[in-house]
Amino acid sequence: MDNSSMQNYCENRLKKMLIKDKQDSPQKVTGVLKSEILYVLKNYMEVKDYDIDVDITISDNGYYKLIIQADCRNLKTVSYIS
Amino acid sequence: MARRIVITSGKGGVGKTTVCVNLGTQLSKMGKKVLIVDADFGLNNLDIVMGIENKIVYDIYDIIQGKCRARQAIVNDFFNDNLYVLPATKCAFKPAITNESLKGIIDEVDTHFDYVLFDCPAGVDNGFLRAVCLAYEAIIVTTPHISAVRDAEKVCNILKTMGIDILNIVINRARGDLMISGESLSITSIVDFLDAKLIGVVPEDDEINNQLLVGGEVTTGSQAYISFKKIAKMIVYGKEDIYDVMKKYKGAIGLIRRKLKKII
Repeated sequence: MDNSSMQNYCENRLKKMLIKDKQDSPQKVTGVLKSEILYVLKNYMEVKDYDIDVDITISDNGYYKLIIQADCRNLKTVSYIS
Repeated sequence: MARRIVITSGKGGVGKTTVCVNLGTQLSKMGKKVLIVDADFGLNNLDIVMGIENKIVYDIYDIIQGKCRARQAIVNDFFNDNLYVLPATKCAFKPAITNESLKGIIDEVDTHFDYVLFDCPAGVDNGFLRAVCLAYEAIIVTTPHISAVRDAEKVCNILKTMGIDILNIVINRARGDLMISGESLSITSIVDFLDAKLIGVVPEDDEINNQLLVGGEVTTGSQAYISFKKIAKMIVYGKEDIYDVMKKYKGAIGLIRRKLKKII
């Protein structure tokens, strides 16, 4: 392996390692995040615990991608929200 | 009130204590009154690096126990009048050493200093948390090795979570010859991975080895000395001036130096 490709290999290896490290941590956050999102959403819509799906993935640049999908049964009327 | 800076890394052996001592020395030479707190309980080596191991009478645990006052435990450096050390206890597992008790001691003394530097233990367990919760700023020391950068990245995330927003990086033991030839991680890529502000690069220098053997200051005028001076100026004045570790290996003469280093 020549020197320049060694540096690239090293950087890619580190990048992969850091992404893998990041993949381990969202599992702990997802549960807490889901319950807090649900709490906020309930103020504006009729949504149940099993209707909401929170997922955190890692994109290639190492940034987290937060995906929230929720099946909403009904939206509350804005003028009646206290 | 003093600027409280924790020097941390995650990985052991990257040069936290060396950076802490040399940074403290340079700040004190700039006329700042500096206190270095050895927060590495149990595996404390700050006293040896500074060469003051025979001057220590009391330590942090003695203050907590009420055997002495904080001012009595603080030791003045041999070479710099403005540089002081608060030694750590030799035993890591003393239940009386709590975050609150340490905070009380630091709150009591920090009004007498311009800078308080905390030499943090390796790892991210209780000792690390104890040191970090005393500071408002952090310097993360890393080397250009994958394992050190990986641990430094974890530490950066933990510090951000703990509310420490001022995160600075010092890259220690950098080898300009290897960086130029592509046999080491580059400065730019390390900074990109860590997502914090680079305040200094310290070259691999035999003078550091001598400092660790004898204790005291790194030789005036050496590469390491110059780089630490630049870091101190960066901290005090905020003026960016990073030591260029690759400078002496650039150009035709630099190429000869690199070739010679490979042969020797």
